[in-house]
Amino acid sequence: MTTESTNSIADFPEDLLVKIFDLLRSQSDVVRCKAICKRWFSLISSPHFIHHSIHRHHHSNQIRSSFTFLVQPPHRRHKTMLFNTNFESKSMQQTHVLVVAYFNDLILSCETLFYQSVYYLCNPLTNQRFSLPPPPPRHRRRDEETKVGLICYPSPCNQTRQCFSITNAAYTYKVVRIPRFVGSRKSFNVEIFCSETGKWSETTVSSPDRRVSFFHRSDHMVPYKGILHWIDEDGEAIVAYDPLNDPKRCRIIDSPLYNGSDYVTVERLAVSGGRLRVLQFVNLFPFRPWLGSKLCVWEIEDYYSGKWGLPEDQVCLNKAVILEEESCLAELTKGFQHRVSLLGLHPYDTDIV
Amino acid sequence: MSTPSVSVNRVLKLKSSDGEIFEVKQTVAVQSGVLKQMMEDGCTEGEIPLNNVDSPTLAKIIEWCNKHHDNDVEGRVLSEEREKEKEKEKAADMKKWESEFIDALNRDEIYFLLTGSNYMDIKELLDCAAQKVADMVKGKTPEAIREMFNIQSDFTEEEEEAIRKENQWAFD
Repeated sequence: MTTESTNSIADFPEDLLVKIFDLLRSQSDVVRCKAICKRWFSLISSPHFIHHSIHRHHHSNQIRSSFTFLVQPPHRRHKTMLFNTNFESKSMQQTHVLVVAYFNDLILSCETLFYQSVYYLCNPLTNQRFSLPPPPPRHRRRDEETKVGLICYPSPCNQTRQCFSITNAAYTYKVVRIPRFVGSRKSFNVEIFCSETGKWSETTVSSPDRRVSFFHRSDHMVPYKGILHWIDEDGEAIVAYDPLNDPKRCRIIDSPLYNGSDYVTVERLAVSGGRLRVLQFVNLFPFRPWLGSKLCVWEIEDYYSGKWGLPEDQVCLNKAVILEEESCLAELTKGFQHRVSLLGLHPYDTDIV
Repeated sequence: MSTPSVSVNRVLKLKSSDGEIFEVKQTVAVQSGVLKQMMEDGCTEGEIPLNNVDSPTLAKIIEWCNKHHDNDVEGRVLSEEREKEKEKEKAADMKKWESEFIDALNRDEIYFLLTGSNYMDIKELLDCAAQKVADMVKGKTPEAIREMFNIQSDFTEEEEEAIRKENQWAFD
């Protein structure tokens, strides 16, 4: 009879246990299960489970039980408030950091916007952070604006490594720094930090398609499909740079233009619902912007040919923009430099202002 | 039905690990991947021994399968217009029934139901029972989880301390 054998859930077959761990959804529950016994620990720490779990989280449309989002108040643009929410405990943590780049759950922060020298890689959910070695000194000029991008790659299975932290352990990452350059150029310099070598290296990136200029206003690098994207200064081109597979070149995707006759005031790149998007604020009345502007959300339809579409009902600005996720977490007023990004999940709706 | 060899009136005789015989309609039994395979292979004559499932558990499993089968049959009788509307209602009713069914079980019963449905390959029941266990684990401390499932820690104190330290955020 079955009752005579050890009837403990701890002794379940592996696939059954994995199924249960999988249903936990919240990372902290999974991590706590590691402390139960050695078998559970090794199951949860196994690269197989971690890969499986990362895959599931990145491909499910379910809203996770907790997420992090950033709010950048317009009057203090250099300080980003970091909210960490957990719906189970209804708690909300708030910290101030300067975020220079992000990738899924991870953010790269720096203490100062100019003269960036020490970068920290943080996981806001776990409150873990560690610093990167300083980049090469020659570009560390005080007045120099630098744009930074962070990109992570699932690393090949490494059976020998015991992973303690579930979401990040199976990643290697690269940090890409682009110091400001002037005018339109056929090539520019980048500095890349690779987590595997633990070192910074310098590369010259050429743009075979077209000349590129530096970043469009407050735009930043957006990771999408393992490639970093940003809008160039003229707002006409989106630069795509793949530091892993093609570190010597970049590719240009034409930016969508609204009617041609309209005036685009601000553009921003974002990823939402697993698609790359461009947000444009368009003045409805040229030369009289105070009469109203409109937010256009372009979504890439075909990444490789660079075809754009306007998939949604467009939003008229001048209305307060709300970010809502079951409970109301943020009340935001209008403003161009106002930015909210949801990290760690791909929302259906663009929750970016 | 899914296979020609399954007939509505025929029954299977399932024998639990403690020797009790349960009769189940073939149309109900197809929910079990294992039994379905046996029917397809035509080897369901006589008693089918289920050595990993005891009689209280098997009774529960059959109750589940009967309920889900009844629900399927009802669906076919309905007219098409009302089907969608009814479908929703039924899904909600079924959810309610499922959660009541699962919630009524004690820890050992859930344990046997999980192993039983895993052994018999009944996906829906397995999912439901696994979710229940996951819900039981949620938000609990390792001590509480160990106590709940009667698990002995085989970590040394130092090892456990190291895990907690490494993952401090999850234990606060």
